[in-house]
Amino acid sequence: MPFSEIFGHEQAISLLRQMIRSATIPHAFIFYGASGIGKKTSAFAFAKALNCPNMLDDFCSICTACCKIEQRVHPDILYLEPFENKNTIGIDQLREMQEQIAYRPFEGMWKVVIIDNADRLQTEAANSLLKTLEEPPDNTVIVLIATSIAGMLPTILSRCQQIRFLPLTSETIVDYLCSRVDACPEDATIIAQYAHGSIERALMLFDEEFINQRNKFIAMLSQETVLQPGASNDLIGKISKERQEAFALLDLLELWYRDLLLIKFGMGESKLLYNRDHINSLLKAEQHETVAGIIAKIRRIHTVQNTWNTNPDIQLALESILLQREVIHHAVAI
Amino acid sequence: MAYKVLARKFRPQTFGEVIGQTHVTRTLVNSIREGRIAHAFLFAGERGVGKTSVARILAKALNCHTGLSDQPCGTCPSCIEIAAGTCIDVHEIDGASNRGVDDIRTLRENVRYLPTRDRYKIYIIDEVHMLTEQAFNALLKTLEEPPSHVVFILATTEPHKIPDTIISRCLRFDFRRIPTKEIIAHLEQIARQEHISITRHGLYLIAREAEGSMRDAQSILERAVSYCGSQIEDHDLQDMLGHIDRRQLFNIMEGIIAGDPHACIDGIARLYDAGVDLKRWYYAFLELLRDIRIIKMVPDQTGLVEASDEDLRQIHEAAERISDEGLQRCFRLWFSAENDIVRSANPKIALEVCLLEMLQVKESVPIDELLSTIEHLQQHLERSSTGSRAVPLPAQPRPAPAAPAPRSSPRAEAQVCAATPSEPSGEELIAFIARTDAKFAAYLRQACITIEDGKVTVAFPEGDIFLDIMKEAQTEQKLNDLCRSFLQRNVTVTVQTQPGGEKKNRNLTESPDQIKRKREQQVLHNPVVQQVLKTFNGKIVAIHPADR
Repeated sequence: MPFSEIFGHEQAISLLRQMIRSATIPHAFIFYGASGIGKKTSAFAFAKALNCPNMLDDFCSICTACCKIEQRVHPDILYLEPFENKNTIGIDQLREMQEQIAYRPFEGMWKVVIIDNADRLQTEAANSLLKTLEEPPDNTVIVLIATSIAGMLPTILSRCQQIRFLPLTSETIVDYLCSRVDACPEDATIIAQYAHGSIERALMLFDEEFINQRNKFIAMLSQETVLQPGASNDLIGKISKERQEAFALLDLLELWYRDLLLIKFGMGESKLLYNRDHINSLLKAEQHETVAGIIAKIRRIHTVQNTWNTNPDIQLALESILLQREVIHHAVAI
Repeated sequence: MAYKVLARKFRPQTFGEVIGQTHVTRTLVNSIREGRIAHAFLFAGERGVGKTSVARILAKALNCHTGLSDQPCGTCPSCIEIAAGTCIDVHEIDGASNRGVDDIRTLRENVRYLPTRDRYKIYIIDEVHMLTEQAFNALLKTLEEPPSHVVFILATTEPHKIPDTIISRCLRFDFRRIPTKEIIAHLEQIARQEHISITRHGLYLIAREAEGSMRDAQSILERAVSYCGSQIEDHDLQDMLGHIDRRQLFNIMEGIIAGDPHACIDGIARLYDAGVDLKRWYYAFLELLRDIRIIKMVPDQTGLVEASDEDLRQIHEAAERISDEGLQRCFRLWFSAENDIVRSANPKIALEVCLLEMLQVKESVPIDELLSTIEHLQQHLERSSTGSRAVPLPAQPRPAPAAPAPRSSPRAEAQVCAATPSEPSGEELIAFIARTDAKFAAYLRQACITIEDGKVTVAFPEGDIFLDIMKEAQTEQKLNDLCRSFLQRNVTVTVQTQPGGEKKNRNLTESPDQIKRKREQQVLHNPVVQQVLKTFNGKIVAIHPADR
């Protein structure tokens, strides 16, 4: 799988290849961008390209070095990620890495250290990386991977070449889904809208029969009759068993209300509606809503989304949004 | 030799090469010349301003084989080894990785031994802020009085994390952020040596992005070279830096001003498709709103707004077309969305919602307009109420036990006098004047004002102090002008003594008791007093004459 088989990221990859070609490889990188868009894949591809004896600025995928890297058994490629039961990378892991990179590469030409979730390094760990990151031994490349550089130490950022990975375009995702997992183009288009440029998300949604769920959910949302409190309980109860699913559901809600808002502003014809295929349901639902109510709900959804990492009770979170919907319905009815 | 990034390749090797830190290097150079070497230094400052570099140069200066010198030779074994980081007598310790008390204990043990080859044994502890509390405390005694052959150099970006007891034992140097101009000059020099062609504006873009850190600037230049090759064009650089396209900003601002949701939503979609970092864009838009606000408040104060002429023109235009109130609310809405947008993994929807919300602001009535409407209504109400009250007023039975009519209150008189329905009342005239000159209006409240076919008569009780004031030519003129602008036509104003001047004479014949009672009645019926009683639901306990 040479570079050309990585979906998207043409700019980032051409930059990396250019560096290999001109032998001007900085000792430290930070790859950042939304999760599940291919940063790690690109980092390993970069490691292969550095060590593949067969090609200069690409890799063959069939030589020993490439295979070992693919299997994660290459002695010169260090991959650090948080331990399974932990959220962050600790200082001990980094100390071990620092000991290891003091040696020259065993087999390949380059030692490559890939540190995943670098934005979640503990403060101590991040600081202990500073000196190594500034002046690592020769023929060593450190690649940090982060979803966002906003919360990282400026001292770390200043030592690295920052390479931003853009979210993939919908076309790229449709392309991926159709060619890799045999999705039908219609489904792929819908999934791509909800994937936010992430292949990982797209795959997750595809596995879950997301399309069916979406139809069911939209049917519920667009019900003409006023929901009785508790009417949505069944649905919430069914859905909220799976965290991932529930999160996808939040997205559904978010985009649904966003579309309603657009319609409220007279943009019913716009091509930018996410739920264009359900335009009739949207138009129906729009009649029960007020602009302020929609905005309040979207805000509420954002709050839940942004606190998702703090592990909220899914059932409560979803209820707080859906029931609010019901309350507003009642208020209007009164 | 392996490729080295620019930041490492161009690490300064002498005090003279250090940029933007003359206040540090000069002090160090002089103290070396004088031979007054402190045993502990603390270098504090932002990332990439030269702390570690100066620490190494200092180590070289102290250990150079040509002798203690502010210009280390760079060729002796000691200098070479220090530059390569292999010198046996210079220990560069990563304070963040070796942060425990045990590490410091080892250090303390080693400090005792003389240097192997060179003059000083030098400990450079970088990232020293990460030492644990115990480690810091274990270091205290050694740091206060180390053996004469030992020099400590501590370097950190976060001096506030270092205990005071440590700071007080060190000679502290604060490194400054490097001015943009000096960064540009240095980058220019690097570009020349590396045969990179880049415009001065390009260098400026890099230097501004670096925010005073030389290493950041060098890293960005490095990235630019990988990105564009040795020919760096401005637009490529802007692409690479994720520069926000000003045109898109103005387009969306235009959409908000014009109340066009399509422009906003389409604009965001375009940004998203182009891969613009929406979080950065959020801040750029915030800055634009801020600029517009500033221009709106102080139109000629352009020094506060950093923008090109073309941008400035557009900002001015936007400032003219949006109401103060609307702009303020837009700003507040946008600013309050920060949390949602910055923390969100996918800020697109949050941006859209916020923009649409701002469109709604446009529809709301600005407070100024609202206020004037209220005022208008109030006037209308007053006019109609004075008109209708004028008729039943005399019929209202007054519970006052004493005979004198409420007429004697000048204010009540003013109301009664003005009861001509076709002409505005004296009250209205006073209210009108009060808007521009409250003091003047207060004078007039004492008078009975009649308005009849373009004639305004202002009558004061005889001997009233305000009568004299009103009769002055200057005030009379002013009154004239005010009345004219109130009635919107030419008027004649007469200031006169109130008819019924016999009041005073009659007063003379009345007994002091009667006068007192009369005065009390006057006070009781004074509308101000009545208003106070009504508002506070009070009652009158006693009435005393005021001390004159």
